Amino acid sequence: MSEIRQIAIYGKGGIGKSTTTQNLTAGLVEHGKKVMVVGCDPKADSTRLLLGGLAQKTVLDTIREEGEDIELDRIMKEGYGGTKCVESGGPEPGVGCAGRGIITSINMLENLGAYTDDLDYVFYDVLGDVVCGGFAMPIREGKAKEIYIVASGEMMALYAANNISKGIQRYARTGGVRLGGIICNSRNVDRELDLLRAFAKELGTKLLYFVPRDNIVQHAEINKKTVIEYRPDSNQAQEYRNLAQAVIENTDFVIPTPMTQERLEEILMEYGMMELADDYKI
Amino acid sequence: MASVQYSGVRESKPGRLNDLGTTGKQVEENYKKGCLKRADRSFAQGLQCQQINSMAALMSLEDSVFISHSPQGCVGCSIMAVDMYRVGQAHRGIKNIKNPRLIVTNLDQKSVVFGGETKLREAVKRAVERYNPKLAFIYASCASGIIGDDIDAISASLQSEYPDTLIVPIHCEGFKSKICASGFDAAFISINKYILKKQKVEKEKGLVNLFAPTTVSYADQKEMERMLSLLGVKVNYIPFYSSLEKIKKIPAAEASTSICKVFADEFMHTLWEDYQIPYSHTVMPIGIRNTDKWYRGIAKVLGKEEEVEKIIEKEHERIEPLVKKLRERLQGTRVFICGGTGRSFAAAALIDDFGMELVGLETPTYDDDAQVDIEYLNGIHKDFVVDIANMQPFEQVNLVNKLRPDAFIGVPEWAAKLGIPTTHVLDGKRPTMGYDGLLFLGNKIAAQLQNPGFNKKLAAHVKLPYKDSWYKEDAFKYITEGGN
Repeated sequence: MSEIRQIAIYGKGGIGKSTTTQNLTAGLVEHGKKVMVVGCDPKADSTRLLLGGLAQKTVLDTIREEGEDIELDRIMKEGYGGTKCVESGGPEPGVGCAGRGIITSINMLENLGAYTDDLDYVFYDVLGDVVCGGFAMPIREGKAKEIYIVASGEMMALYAANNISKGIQRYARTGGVRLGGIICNSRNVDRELDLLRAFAKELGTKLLYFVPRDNIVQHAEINKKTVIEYRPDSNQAQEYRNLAQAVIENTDFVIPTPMTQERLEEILMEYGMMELADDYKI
Repeated sequence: MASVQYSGVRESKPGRLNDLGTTGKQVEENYKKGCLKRADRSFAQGLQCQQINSMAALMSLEDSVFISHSPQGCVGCSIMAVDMYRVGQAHRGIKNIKNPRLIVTNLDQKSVVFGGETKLREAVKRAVERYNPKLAFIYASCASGIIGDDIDAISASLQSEYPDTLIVPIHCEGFKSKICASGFDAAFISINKYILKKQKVEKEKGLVNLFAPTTVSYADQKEMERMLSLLGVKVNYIPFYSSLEKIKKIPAAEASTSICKVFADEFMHTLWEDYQIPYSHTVMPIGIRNTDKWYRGIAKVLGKEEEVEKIIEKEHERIEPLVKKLRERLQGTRVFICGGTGRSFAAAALIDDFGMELVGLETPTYDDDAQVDIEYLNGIHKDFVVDIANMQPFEQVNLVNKLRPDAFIGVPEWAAKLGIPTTHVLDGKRPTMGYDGLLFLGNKIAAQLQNPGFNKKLAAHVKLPYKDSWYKEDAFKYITEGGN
């Protein structure tokens, strides 16, 4: 029995972490892998496509209403292709401490024996802005050992990715966590592929996969499905299968080398401003 | 432009420091030159937190309830304030001794995740309905502060539900300050904001606010009240054993003064700014010189300079022969002093009355006020060791063991176990202040010196938890310059 590959997905808010994670999960399921997805976002929308809607009661809601003496099946639902889906949830906006909530619910999952030996993968889909120590919980104490950052060619996405790398670097020194690469969720900005490659290289990692932009993702989301389930024959479904393959085969895990703000802007100037500079007219 | 508002955190004032190992001469010189760098400790033992000092300051208010919005461990330290309150009642002749009415919201893991506001509402409701108090104080804690529970909004909404109880939130999150007096400041800031509200009241002729921390004994209160009554004034003793009514009278006073130099200095300044009440800020009235100075300070504010000189002359006539007798018993005794910022400096001056020699001084904070005191002490004593530390017993026992003083005056828990005769100066139960207090204190020190058996036996049977090697190390080994 090989060890469970525990993977945390980080990235700027709204970049498509949840969509990418769930489609990637669907791809892994087609490979016969057993996967658990743990949503670590108070919004609790990390498993919607796998479950066909927000059908899930969160760990924290359950604790709040029923106390801590609960059964695992109260907080874990089975989704597409036998995936196990958990949503950590959180307090209402503006009160309490969502970060402590993540810590509480991951501890609860461990106590209830959610990490069974038959699992091949566990994904933690973490809220975009890692605002406090609680949101770093998935990469602490030897939980997730692999991290992928979802980014695009947009400035703020890269800025966030670089920031997250600083956190990974900190935890990498004390624990075993490593960066597995950057996943580009394309926004169709200029020279995006080149920019992301250069950015990943500067971080000391690689661009694991470039997921092109396709409106079918939006259609699948409206239908509460992953693309693989919604249109298995589409090009985009194949892209996600390829991403799953890339994750399965990936063996390059590094401690990232985050860059200074100046260096990040240099890279953006080099790759992101070309056409605009040429076309600049008054 | 709006005036700068004091945050209630004493570290916010420039030039104030908490961690230093030095000598009297050095610290005076370096402070004067502006070369006293902020330092830190790479190892430190427990400190008081801000919350516990805000609580201790008010817990003897009889018509109040106290709600600690915290995990239950945070109120563990209230045991000292509870003890002071109970003993204080006994001294005041109260037959049915009560405990302070303290309720803790018991913030647990769940409350931290989901917010503790429901628990706080429930606690306040129960406290008010059960005790029907005139005042309900809500204390913030580290936990409630980190999760951002809005204690102000909850207080405001409960206030409309319970118009007969004044609800006063206090922002005393424990981690905010390492200087214990910040906790007092936080309590006074809220008293001003929620009870006094900058409203002008009719002045009461001859009324003086006398501020005192819980560690001032009833005997000391009576002595200070006696001295002030000789000046023909009436005392409003705040906040120990006072009440809503007495607190509301604060703005009616003609002047303010404080027994402790540190306890209410910020608040007295606020009273001057907001209500134009003049105040005297001098020293703690321990020893003849300091008592004179303290007495003259408040007399000057009241325009009674001439009267006070006559009273002082009489008091001197009365006590000087008695002090002289004590001096014969205490002359040449080498002393180490440890106490709060106000008290340690004041006590160091007192030993001049008895002809003793200062070899070491431990005090929690150093600032402008301390500089004035140290200049005086350097004038009357040879050079002595100065440890700027809020307790830190490991440093204290190292120093005391090396210096081997004949007597230790201060907080005696640790020095007593080294076999040194000790006298408590933060007693809270026996006299220390004013002319009469001096005689009691002197007798206490002399008696201790003549009967050191208890401490000797204690030292023979109790071992402090430090390795022998520690006593050979530099006491200031863990002080790092240029910290925080």
